[in-house]
Amino acid sequence: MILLDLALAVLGLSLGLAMVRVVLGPSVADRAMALEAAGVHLIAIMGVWSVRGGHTDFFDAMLVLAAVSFVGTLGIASYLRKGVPIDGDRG
Amino acid sequence: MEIVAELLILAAALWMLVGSIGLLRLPDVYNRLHASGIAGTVGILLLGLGVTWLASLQQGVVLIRPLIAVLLIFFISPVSTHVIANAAYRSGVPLEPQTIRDDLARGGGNQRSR
Repeated sequence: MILLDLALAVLGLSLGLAMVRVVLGPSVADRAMALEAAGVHLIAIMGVWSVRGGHTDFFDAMLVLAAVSFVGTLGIASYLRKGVPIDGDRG
Repeated sequence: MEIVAELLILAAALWMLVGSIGLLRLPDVYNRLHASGIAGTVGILLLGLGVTWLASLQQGVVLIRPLIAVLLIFFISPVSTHVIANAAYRSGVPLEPQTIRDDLARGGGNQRSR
């Protein structure tokens, strides 16, 4: 159990470092990339928190957050390339 | 056997910490994408194996939901890395001055790839 506490602390520190890049990032692409990394860290923290408490509450939320974070990244990238988040003319 | 799963989770956490340090210290967007790929592929895969193993031991049944979530991230993380790199290049994010070669600059750089 102490190993799981240590892993949670390391993951929290790592999430903090990723958020520093979100704040600093000179370009929008930096922020999008760092936000995606932060989403991966959140999913990891959810998993470790669930097994540390001995319950399975967050496993469905892990699935949903994985899918939503990918769609968000695609939206930001599409906005960077074309100027509109979702292009209705050409799919 | 639980200690092995906990060690897997701790190794994954340290791996993702290395990725975040790279996210802070590398010089430009294209270099930092390498560091973000570390957390998205190997780190999350190790962690998913550990979490699935430990949760299955705790609940007494085989739980594959966390493994499905983690495999989803494992397959879409390289895709979003490529998408962000493509968008960053086309939106004109400058390369680091030490870059020695830019293949997209000579022809094809501004054309649509689809």
